[in-house]
Amino acid sequence: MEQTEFSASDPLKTWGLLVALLLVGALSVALGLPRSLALWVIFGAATAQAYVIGRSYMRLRSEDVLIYTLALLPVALVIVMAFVFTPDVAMHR
Amino acid sequence: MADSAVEIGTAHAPHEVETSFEIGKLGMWVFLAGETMLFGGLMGVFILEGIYHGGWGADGAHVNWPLGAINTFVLFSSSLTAALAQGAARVQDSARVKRYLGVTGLLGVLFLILKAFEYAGDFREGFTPLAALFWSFYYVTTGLHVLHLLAGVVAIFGLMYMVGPNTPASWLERKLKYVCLYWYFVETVWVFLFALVYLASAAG
Repeated sequence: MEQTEFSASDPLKTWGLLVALLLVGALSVALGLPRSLALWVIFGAATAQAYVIGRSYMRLRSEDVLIYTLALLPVALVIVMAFVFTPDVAMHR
Repeated sequence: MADSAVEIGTAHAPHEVETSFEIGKLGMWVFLAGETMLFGGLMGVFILEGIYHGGWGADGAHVNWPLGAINTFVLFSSSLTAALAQGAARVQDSARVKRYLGVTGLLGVLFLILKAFEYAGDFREGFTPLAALFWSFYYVTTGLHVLHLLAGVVAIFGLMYMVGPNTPASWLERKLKYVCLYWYFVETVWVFLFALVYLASAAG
């Protein structure tokens, strides 16, 4: 449900979390972690950031199933496209 | 539904048809779904081309990721002020909405200025769009994002210009919701672009 009272602390907490996740991703490169580990950290942090933005700022937690479908269907289609093309790319390499 | 059908705003636009959905929000989400396909397709091709070429090698190592990290921080700060503007609209404080929108727009402009510096530095070092396939992808994906961010800045300053002491609260909250939704989407796209084009290319 929509909030009727406004508190600045929630957006501030969200901002803090996003900045902390940004530092995690950047440090994985700055510290020279092994590439495979760094990639897990980088994309893990990015996915967590997208989740935080969607949940807190876009308020997806209070949306109905139609909006969820509109948000997730294109993401699913892009992932399917990437998987469908991957064997083609790998075999031609 | 998070918002009632009453919010469609028959008081200000009597010609609009009442439905159980908030039409503007639904339209914005349909638009964002198309944009997701656009950016998702580009990023998918970037990943597949990277696999095909066995990684981006030296080209990826030249990308200015510290400046990209600063720009990410700027964008996160702009979404904070956008969220604060939404909060101020909820308590019908139009003066504070205007101030927060102004800061959000200015942070967007700062992002664009930093990006211009970054592009200028890349060009000086010879990394033009035709230098290598990596740089073609780099300029297409980040350039498209810059255009989207520019549109967001125009929308934010446009809305800021329209806000006044007599602005109807429900109108302001609704329009602010659409503009901010777009702004958060542009921020989310940047999160993945930064991870993919900057950090992953520079890692290892």
